[in-house]
Amino acid sequence: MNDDLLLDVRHLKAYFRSKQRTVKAVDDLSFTLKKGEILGLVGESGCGKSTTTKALLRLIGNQKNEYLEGEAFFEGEDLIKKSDKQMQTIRGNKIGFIAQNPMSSLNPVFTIGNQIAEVPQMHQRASKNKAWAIALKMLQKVGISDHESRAKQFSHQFSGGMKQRAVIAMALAGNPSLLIADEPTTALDVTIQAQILDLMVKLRDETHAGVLLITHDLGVVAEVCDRVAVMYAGKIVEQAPVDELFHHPQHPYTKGLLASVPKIGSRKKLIPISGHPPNLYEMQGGCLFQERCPFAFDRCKKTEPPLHKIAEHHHSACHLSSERMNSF
Amino acid sequence: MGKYILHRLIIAVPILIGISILTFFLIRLVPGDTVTAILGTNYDPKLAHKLRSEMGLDQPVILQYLIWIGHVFMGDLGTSSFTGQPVLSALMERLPITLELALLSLIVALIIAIPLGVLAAYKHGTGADYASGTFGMFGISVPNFWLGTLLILIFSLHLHLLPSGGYQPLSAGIGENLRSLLMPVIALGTAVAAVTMRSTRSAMLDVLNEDYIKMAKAKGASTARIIWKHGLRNALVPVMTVVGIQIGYLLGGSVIIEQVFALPGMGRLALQAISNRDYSLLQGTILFVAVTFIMINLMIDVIYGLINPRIRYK
Ligand SMILES: Nc1ncnc2c1ncn2[C@@H]1O[C@H](COP(=O)(O)OP(=O)(O)O)[C@@H](O)[C@H]1O
Ligand code: SF4
Ligand SMILES: [Mg+2]
Repeated sequence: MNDDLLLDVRHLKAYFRSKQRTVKAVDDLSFTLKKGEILGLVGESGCGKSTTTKALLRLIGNQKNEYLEGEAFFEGEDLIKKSDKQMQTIRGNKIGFIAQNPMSSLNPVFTIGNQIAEVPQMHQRASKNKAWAIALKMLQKVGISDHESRAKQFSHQFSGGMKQRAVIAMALAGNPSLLIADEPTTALDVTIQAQILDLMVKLRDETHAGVLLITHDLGVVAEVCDRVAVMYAGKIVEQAPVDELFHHPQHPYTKGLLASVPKIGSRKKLIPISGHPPNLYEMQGGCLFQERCPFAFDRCKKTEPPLHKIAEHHHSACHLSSERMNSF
Repeated sequence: MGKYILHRLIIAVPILIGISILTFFLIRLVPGDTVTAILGTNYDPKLAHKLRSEMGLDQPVILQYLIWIGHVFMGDLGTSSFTGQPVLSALMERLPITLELALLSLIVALIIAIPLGVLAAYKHGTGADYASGTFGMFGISVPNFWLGTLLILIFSLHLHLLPSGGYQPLSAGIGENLRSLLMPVIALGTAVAAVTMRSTRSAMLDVLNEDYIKMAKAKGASTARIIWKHGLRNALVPVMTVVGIQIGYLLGGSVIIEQVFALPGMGRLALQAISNRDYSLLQGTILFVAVTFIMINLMIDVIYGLINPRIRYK
């Protein structure tokens, strides 16, 4: 086994069941993440990105209506097989989580310092003083000035960007080897976004943690990620190193996404992908993208294209790319 | 915060004056006066006239009020026109009983209601939730005097376990003291417990859906820590407001419960004063209860501020 391998997700499925239907939010997802690597998971809203993070942290799968299947090897151990008690020692400790909405992710009645200190208190059985010292160090690390007095403040006294820094400090306080960030900059304005992304890259460089960065923003991906997985309707449709993906996109959906990203200085009109993603509960056979795909042909209706290797480190789930490979 | 408390105390003065005016004039609207009550069947117009002028009851009402409130400001609540006892000493005798009844009822109610409410929220939609919901409905709809009477029927008349009434002071031993208050506390506290439980449940249900609760879970917090630390502390913020409102109910309810269980507290004193048309005693009692009410509410506000850091005292 590869020593650098941190996370190895295989055939992950996460379904939500109700009386009328089953929503296949994540359907047969496989990807890997190396130590020190930043993997971007991109896709339109509703394609199952958050569900993927929740499944990995096992924040779903405990209710009767939530169905979880597959494997997710983290440092060689399958997260999906762990009990909730075992997960408690992993969450916040070995896996740090940065939530989508920093505005509401901090508890309003405890000080920021208290909430960060709680992490080493829970996971390292650190004393109050020791934990507080760690909290101060973390706040300093994420670039909060005047951190000693800020630690004693409450979230309503923090600005949006500072709240997200505090959330990051909380996620890093357990010194995790994997950081999962679910759209960490979506709620922030542009200048703050850039600062937070810089901070995350800097922290990755320092701690050498692997980062799973969820986003729907290809600009964010281009800026910070090493590798990208493009997700569509609960599945990964293309996976490649960032440069490769931006310069040689293979899947029609990825091409569509790239065409809809504004380029600085470009006057070309944006071409949004027409149509909507399929319902995740009444999927027909064949390629999930067929309704919106300008290149769809007979086979797309009949068989679903598997994720196919088209170059070293480059995979795509489209009949066209596999045919092109076969014709060589 | 000291400034805030001072501010609240200053605001309390006009409120108390308002209450004193209302009491003063309302009791005088009740037919009959102190003198008719004292003389009873031996009523004699001449004697009555003499007594009235001795007590100053023949003066204009406004003047009577000004004289009385003037004395109050000097710390003199007057004497009971019926027993001759100084009003203040009568109050001091009765106050501990009412306070003990009300505080015990409140504490017992909170100790039972808050964990139940939390549990109902955590297990919402299950049998435990419905059971506590039923208790909540019962507690809110059952009148306290009815519950008190029922308790006496069962535990005193049938089972002979508890005294049907009367108060045992602490000097008689804490066991005896608590025994004499057990049923009154249940009768008075049930409604408070029911209301508190319901509001804890709904506050907790809201809180458990908050992002910071999910964040606590993602941090690796145990279920117990998520509920009792991260959840409850937030849920207590709205619950405390509801508890503050309950204080008024407790003080009002104790008038009735003291009557049902023959407890010689402030409520009973006030009722006696009304039936005796004992003006100065009644005025003093009401004023005293109002002061107590305001002080307890102020205390609740201070606790509220300690729980909720978003409150800033201005
Ligand atoms: N708890 C849930 N119950 C039912 N459906 C859910 C639940 N959570 C998410 N979903 C559905 O799963 C799909 C994927 O959601 P999500 O993972 O949040 O997407 P993304 O993060 O990519 O925007 C959506 O269709 C959403 O409605
Ligand atoms: S498989 Fe067919 S429908 Fe699907 S993306 Fe490729 S060409 Fe389009
Ligand atoms: Mg999401």
